[in-house]
Amino acid sequence: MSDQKVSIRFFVDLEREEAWLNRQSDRGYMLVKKRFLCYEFQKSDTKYRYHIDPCGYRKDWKSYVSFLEECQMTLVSQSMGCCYFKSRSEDNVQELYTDCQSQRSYYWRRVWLLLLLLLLSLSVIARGRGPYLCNISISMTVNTIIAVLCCLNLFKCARKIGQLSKELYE
Amino acid sequence: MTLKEYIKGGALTESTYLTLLALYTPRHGYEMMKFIKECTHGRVVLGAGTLYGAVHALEKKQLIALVSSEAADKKVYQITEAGRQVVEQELLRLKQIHALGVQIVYGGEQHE
Repeated sequence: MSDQKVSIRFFVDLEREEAWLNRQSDRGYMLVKKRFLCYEFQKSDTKYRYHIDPCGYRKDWKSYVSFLEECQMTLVSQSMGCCYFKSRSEDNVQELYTDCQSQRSYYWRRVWLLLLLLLLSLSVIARGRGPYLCNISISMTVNTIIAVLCCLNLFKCARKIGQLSKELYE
Repeated sequence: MTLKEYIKGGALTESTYLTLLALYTPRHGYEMMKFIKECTHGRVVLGAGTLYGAVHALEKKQLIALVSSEAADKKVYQITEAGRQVVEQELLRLKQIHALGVQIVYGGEQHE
């Protein structure tokens, strides 16, 4: 087996992406870089847990990242508005966000990112055409799937936000 | 991304209270997390992102302050005089409601 591998994946759901990265780590591959849809892995004996935070656009980004690094969360990569952190699984550092309020703002940030993605895919659908395969437009099909996934995820996040708000204000 | 410090009636939230207590001794982020987890026997666990929000909000309110960073450029925080006052007030409030509880639950005859 080679020491490096590159996977091409596209995730709409951050939780699924985290779970997938964790599974890769269990198989002995740690993420070293993510660029667009490319995930670069390297062989490693240490097992890591991954945490993806859609925090790319915050003003205090620098101090946030350095604070997290002090808390044993290492920034691995940054891509499309998301930061990829890893912590050693034996350190037992749990979730990034543990109270209702911060969890709620985490889901809100996910909603904004999803809306952006939805807008993008809808704008491609609106322009239509694109390369065809057996008379089916590839760009239309792909973007319709993305749009549907975005909507499903938006519902999921909205439900979570609703639950958390209820806990906060009741 | 800020932590709600006070709930209705001026009580501190548990995470704020514990964060302030943790900083009677100068500590950096990871030490705070460990302290809070250990002294509540794992009942209260703060994630790093949540703790960042708490520390940031408390620093803004000047209840805690940055102590000169150590050589290993770790940010070490400590409670300020204003922070101590807030904790003392909270202790007084807790003492009062504790006494009230004891009086009603265990001292029924005196209460009549």
